[in-house]
Amino acid sequence: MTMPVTDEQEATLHAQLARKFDEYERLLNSMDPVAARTGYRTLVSAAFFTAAGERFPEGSPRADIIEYVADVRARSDRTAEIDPVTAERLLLAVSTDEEIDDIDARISFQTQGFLLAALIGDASLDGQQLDDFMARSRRLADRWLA
Amino acid sequence: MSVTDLEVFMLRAHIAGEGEEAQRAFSRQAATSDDMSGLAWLVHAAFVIAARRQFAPTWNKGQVIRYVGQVRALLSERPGLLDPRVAEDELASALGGQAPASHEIGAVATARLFLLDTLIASLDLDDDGINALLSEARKAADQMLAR
Repeated sequence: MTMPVTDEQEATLHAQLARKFDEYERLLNSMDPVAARTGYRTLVSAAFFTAAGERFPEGSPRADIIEYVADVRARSDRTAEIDPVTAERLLLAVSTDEEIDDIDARISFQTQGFLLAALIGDASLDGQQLDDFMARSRRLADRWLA
Repeated sequence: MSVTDLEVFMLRAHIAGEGEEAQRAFSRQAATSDDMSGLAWLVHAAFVIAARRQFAPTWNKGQVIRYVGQVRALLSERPGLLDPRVAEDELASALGGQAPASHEIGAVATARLFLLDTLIASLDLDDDGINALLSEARKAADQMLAR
């Protein structure tokens, strides 16, 4: 059985989503690299799945996803580098039967990270709402890891 | 060599949504010559003119990305039809940005044609406006072909 998500991993993602970037960098750099490849990546994926599912529930038009990805990519030179088709497919896969097995794991993780930050930023969560979101995401990640 | 009346007719028919008319003209052209460079330059010139009008007086990369996203959203039932990277590169290049990365020629032609269609719709051109744009594009294409 794989280790569940740790408090340290949750705190790292929480810091990133709360835009506490100095804290995020410090926690990320101190994270155990092996654990980062499993627990942390799973937590990011679970958070992405949760946030994307809330923003684009089942039945959401593909056109909305295409325009959202374009909007996120248009925000900065860094986000412009996201591959649009990959980003759209990752969002679609949350609520449809879109197959994403062919997407490279590293690219998938990076793209989910960008989209997750944008989704949470757009949701304008207050402190309590972000805590609740993190708790839901962690529970989901632990189920996936179990 | 210069752009032919048939090539202008073909592009005008395509823009007007008269696909069969455009296809017939294309077949007539193909029967007389293998050289489609006149049509290719005409499309490119029309695309550049329309893009510069739409984004005047200034543009940035974010606007280009959003515009292509809007176009692709309209085509969302056939998402593979327009490659977003190719479309963004072509649009940015038309506006004077960095020359695009090397893309497959068919994808480039498709991007220019789709974007031209949507730019004309965005500019809300009537028949006179389309004729004026094609006339300007023809002159520019002829200059390119004369080089």
